[in-house]
Amino acid sequence: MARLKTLLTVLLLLVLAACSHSHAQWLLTDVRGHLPDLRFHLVDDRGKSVTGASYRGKIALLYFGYTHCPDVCPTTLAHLAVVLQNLGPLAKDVRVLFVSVDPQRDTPRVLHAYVKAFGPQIVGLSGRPGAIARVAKRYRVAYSYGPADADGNYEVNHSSAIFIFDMRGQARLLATQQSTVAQLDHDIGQLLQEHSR
Amino acid sequence: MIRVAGVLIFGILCSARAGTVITTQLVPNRPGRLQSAQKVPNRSRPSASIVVRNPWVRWLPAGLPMAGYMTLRNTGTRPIRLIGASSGQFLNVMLHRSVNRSGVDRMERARVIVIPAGGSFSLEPGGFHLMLMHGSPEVRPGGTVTIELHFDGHAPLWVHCPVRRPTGMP
Repeated sequence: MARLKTLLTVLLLLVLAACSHSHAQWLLTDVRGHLPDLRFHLVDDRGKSVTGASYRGKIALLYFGYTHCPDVCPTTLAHLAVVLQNLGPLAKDVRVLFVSVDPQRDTPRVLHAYVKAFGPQIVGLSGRPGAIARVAKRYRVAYSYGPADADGNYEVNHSSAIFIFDMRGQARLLATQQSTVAQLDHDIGQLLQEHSR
Repeated sequence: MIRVAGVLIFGILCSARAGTVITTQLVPNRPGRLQSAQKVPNRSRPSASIVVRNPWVRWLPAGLPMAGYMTLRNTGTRPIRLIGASSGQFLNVMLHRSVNRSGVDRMERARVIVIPAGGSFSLEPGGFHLMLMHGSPEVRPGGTVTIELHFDGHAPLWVHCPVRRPTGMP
């Protein structure tokens, strides 16, 4: 009886080992099959019309924010800049797509100055309010504006998720501000490897 | 006149509703001279028993608002209340806090920050910070920003903050 138990345990361990070898281990949240492909019609920070297809062949990290955000957005972009730096030459196949949810102020000129201050692989995207709303809705991203005061000040609240797409534009992983540089580098490295096979 | 009244009403509403969520204030660029909020510090008040560590400002381009960070250590035996800040290099400095509720980031105005006796309080990325608005064009990475911290019942404290690049690198 004891021998049978041992045998079963060994068999179970072998099965588990086989499973872990056939599936890549992700440190971020695996969202494959749960979120739609990378698709949008927006304007990049050079004023050029772009779509999701413009970034096929790149690992795309989609993040929603706005440039008048002095703390969280720059902290997230600085974090992603370190991730890209660690990837070294592989970073040429990665793009961070920073979608502004404040198109009224985030003209391509402002966006260009902002994103390029963080690194060459970071792209600013903006567009008509309707186009931005469609992208946000597609990924269930919430954002809202507070009422403008007498000076025209207004508030912008925005979702903090980072959506990661593979080179075919398929949604694969979900990261948050709490995701570490090591987790991001590991998983992005793994996505890059998928395509080099 | 209506505009002035509006600003006054907004100010009264804000001060009456302490702790209310006030997210990022977006102000269009206005011409005007930069001025310090507190012109003549009151020398008769005791100096705050505060030691500042690792102060820095994250520079952003295009006249965008920036954030200032530092750790405040209270070496005294009584709590000290930070009630505001100002800078000759920025038109407006506010105490802010970034909060994330249900995956949505927003900013709250912090009225008071209490530094406990013998304890520390950190202004750090993703949490409490100084929001610096309408900076002078001379503020550049590699330079220094002087921020005046205002404490309840104490003389103000000047802090020289190195200005870092957007990535946070010196």
